[in-house]
Amino acid sequence: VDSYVLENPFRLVFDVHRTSSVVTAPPRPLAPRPEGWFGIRTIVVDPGHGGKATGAIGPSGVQEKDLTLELARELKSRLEHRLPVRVVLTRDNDIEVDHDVRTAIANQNQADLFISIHLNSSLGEGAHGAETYFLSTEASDARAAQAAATENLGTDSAVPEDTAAQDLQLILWDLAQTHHLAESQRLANLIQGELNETLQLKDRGVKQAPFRVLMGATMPAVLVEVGFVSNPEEEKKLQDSSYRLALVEALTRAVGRYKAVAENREQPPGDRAPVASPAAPGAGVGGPASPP
Amino acid sequence: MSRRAAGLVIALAVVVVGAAWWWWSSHPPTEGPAAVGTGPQARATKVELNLYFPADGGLLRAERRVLPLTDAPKQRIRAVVEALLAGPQGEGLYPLFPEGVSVGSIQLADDGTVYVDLRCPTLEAPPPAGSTAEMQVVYSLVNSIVWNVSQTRQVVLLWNGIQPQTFAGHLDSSSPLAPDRSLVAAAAVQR
Repeated sequence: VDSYVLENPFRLVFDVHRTSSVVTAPPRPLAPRPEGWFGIRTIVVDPGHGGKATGAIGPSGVQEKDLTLELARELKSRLEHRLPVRVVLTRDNDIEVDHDVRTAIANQNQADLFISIHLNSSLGEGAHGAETYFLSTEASDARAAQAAATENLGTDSAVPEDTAAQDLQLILWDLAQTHHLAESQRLANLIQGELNETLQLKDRGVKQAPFRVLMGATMPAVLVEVGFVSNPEEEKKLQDSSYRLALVEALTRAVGRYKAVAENREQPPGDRAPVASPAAPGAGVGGPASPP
Repeated sequence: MSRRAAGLVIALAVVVVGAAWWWWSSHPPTEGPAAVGTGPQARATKVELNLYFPADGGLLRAERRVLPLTDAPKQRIRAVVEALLAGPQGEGLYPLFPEGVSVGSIQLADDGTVYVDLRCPTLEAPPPAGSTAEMQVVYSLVNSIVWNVSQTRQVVLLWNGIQPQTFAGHLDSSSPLAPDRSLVAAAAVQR
């Protein structure tokens, strides 16, 4: 049984599993963090949809939920093989997981990155290629307003000291969210660049949207649409395991580059390594060497 | 004129005016705009406007249409949504849903938030879709409503009376959505 605490409204969620936990792999033992250093150590990978929620369905009947699970499993394996990170999947079988539980899993595991994997579809013809999303500013602001409302509900507003403390807390929370949005955009740019570069896909760009699964994540969070399952040609490619491996390889390289850049930024100035090099310490992966 | 005769004339005048008012109110003029609803503000006039339908490339494209609209905002919203659900008339544009989806109740809050209840007896939830298809459907409705009904600012979509957590697996539906210009194709409006 897993349990999660969700807010607004306050909820306790108990996730009862018949076999293994949603969090599929036992946590990989990691060396203790140096004080004041916040590297990328835990990554939550979220295979979109699942169970009754099939997601998009291709012309030949391919279901998004199946391919996102394949991609997520492969990405977990590759990331853990290439980088000193622990990867947690929000689901490892064909089950329906609430959107808020997905981000709760990331928060519970104190994840440093949240990557939700999806396949796209469109009405009409001609849409193909990859696109990467991070949370829209309006949605982030709305979330902040909700958090503020929740905070105010939970305290006695007649006490000015409490109000001031709440305001300070909200300002800090808002600053953290702004930082996460900027980092989310940085990660999204790297992922989109790798997908375009590696697979020569049409660049549909980095975008923002009020996607539910990105709300409430207290870390940089992106949603990657790796291709259009509604496009017959792309549907065929996505069914090919070697094509999916190439997609996973691109995502792994992007995460490696993000990790190298982020960790280098947080080192004391004297200890910083050159970030343009794909062989930067801790990256462990190759790839094009343009900074984000 | 005696006082009695004057009283009779006044009474007769009242009866004549009353009868004329009753006849006029029960026989509205046959020429001019047709009345769609009830009440003085329900008189419809033909209005030219843009409806935004899904188009190729994962975008929305405007179709120029003429709809009979009244000044009543809820009637205007209903007319816009019904026209969207009826589907596009031009080439290269696509319907929002399979057949069988209709519009139920419409509510308009003082802050300009519109609540549109979409009804479909055969589908428990909106059809599964990728995020682009979902955004095409949602912003077809949101953009068309807000940009054509000045009293509106944002839209909440319900399905069979329920406000879902997401519309079709991605877009947050727990908060109202404002229009999104980024999905609208830059090409010319279809007539």
